[in-house]
Amino acid sequence: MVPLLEQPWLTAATVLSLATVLVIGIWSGARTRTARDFFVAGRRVGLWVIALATMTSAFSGFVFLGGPGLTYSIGVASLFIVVPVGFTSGLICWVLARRLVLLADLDEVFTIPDALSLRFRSKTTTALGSVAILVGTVGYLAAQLLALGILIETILGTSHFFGERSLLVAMSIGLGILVFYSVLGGMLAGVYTDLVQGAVMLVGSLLVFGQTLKAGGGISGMASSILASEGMEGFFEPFARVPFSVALGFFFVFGVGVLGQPQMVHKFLMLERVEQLRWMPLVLGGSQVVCLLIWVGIGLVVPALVAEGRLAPLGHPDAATLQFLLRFVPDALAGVVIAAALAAIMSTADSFLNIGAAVLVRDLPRLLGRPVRAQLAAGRVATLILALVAGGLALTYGDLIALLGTFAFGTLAAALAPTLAVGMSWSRVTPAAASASIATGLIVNLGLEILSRIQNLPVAVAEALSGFAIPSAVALAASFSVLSLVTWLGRASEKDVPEAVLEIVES
Amino acid sequence: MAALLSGASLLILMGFLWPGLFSWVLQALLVTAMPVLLILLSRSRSLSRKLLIAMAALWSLLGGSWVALIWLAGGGVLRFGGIPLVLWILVCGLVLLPLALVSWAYAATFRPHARPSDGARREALSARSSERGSS
Repeated sequence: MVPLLEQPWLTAATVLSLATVLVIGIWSGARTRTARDFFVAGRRVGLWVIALATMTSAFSGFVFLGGPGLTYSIGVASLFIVVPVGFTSGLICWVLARRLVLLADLDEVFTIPDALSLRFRSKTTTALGSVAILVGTVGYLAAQLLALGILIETILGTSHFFGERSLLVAMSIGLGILVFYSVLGGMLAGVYTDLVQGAVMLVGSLLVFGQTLKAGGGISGMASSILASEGMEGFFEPFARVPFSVALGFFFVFGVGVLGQPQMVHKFLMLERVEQLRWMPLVLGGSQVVCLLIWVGIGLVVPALVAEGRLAPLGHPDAATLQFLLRFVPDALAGVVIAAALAAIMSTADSFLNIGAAVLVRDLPRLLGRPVRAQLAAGRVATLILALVAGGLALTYGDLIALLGTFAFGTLAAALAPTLAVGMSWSRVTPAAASASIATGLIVNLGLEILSRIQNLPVAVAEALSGFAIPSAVALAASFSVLSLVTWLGRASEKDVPEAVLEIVES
Repeated sequence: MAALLSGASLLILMGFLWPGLFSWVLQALLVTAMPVLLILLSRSRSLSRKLLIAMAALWSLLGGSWVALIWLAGGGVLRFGGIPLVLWILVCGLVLLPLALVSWAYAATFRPHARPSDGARREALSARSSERGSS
């Protein structure tokens, strides 16, 4: 593979991007003195930083690389994954954000399991929540590290120099930089690198969207080319290339499941004042919409260019973005987009590193009755260990990890969204209901995902599974249903929950 | 509100388990009702008329867009201004208009809760300490 770095603008953008996060790591490292700084950025963060950090954590490299490729494969049905951004920012703010800020005002709430503990006073609920977060973290993190390694390998062309060890070298470079700023500056480094990375992602998306319009002759020009092509039947028909239940499942999981994503909702524990939430839906949702322009633009223009014969049909759909960048975008802009893709991957990974480290040194030890006293030092060590373990897993079980990454969102959604969304709004929800819901989400989602990938299942089982919507949609709906049923059937018990917490839940 | 949410969850689960059980329109209306019901549940103690109207509008937008997509399915590609109608619905009906609506409605109905008093903080800390002590 020809190193993309042979083009000087790509070199400059990549080096500048990586150097910037290193500088932020050093800057924030000097300001990280306590566990509060490390895990919740000292709770000194404002609207814009939280909004952009939430956006960048939510959007991994998939938005830049995988998403456009998915649109190339399944047409506009792929957009059901992203169209919920129209309401998700408001949903998160109404249902969770304000309550999380207030809980963090009330007590030392650094993590989502901390919030669960304060709300439910149940070790089982908190432990199940911690396990769900750890499972999701390992899957997400290892998948991001694998993507980071592959992207750096493509940019630097390490396969020219290191042969079979190319991916190891490329991943080590990315991991080294990621670990440097995450260990040194914790979440303080995380949110400020996210701010810069978010800005790069927004600029890159806007500029590339302009290029797609230019190359494709506007949206109507792209549509005309696609519609005139014999190989693109059903591209603009929402339920032609995927069944209706899958399209609706995407919308459900990515619309309601955001409430269970710790990498997003954890950010609200860092907000300085609750008043700063007033314009959060606009800033967060607006930034998400701008960032997604790259998905829509490249997703439409590449099939149009293929239909016109200006681009050869893609060997692999994931090549859509790189093919477009290399052939139709000026080098300087392509450099910005490569930097944006790196930024998207690293910002998601740093969030999960911090969240996973918090589970290891804060949530689980407290549940075991052995709280760690030196949480800052322990957090740094745990971050390093987690990064090495996830990197090792990604290298050893690459295919499995890629698979885990694809259903990590669904696992977190099914396990945590009902308990966080309903449990934080409805005081009647009992610890038993919350625990049952988290367990249901975890077991049903992992079980269905594994079953759906087993070959040679009995015909009756295979037929039953093929009739389902996507597994995470079934698991999320089951988790909501179990939470409701156990709550209605059980007896409300609020005696252990502090009055101030109930007041926040009922506010 | 909690009862409505519980009922909707169960029906959505049944719809996903047995895709032919309900019509596509009913399934879409149930799924698009979920975010609306969650928001209404989260503000059930302080529901304002403004929020109710905004949520009715949000459900109309989301549900109406899905119904329109279902209606258009399989009928060929209709275009408006050269752009497929499906794209208009996806972009405007499901993204831009809902975003404008929720952004306005959230800001317009935003009421910051009073910060916890020192007494409330002490109560929470003491509850947490007793949990740690019992561990």
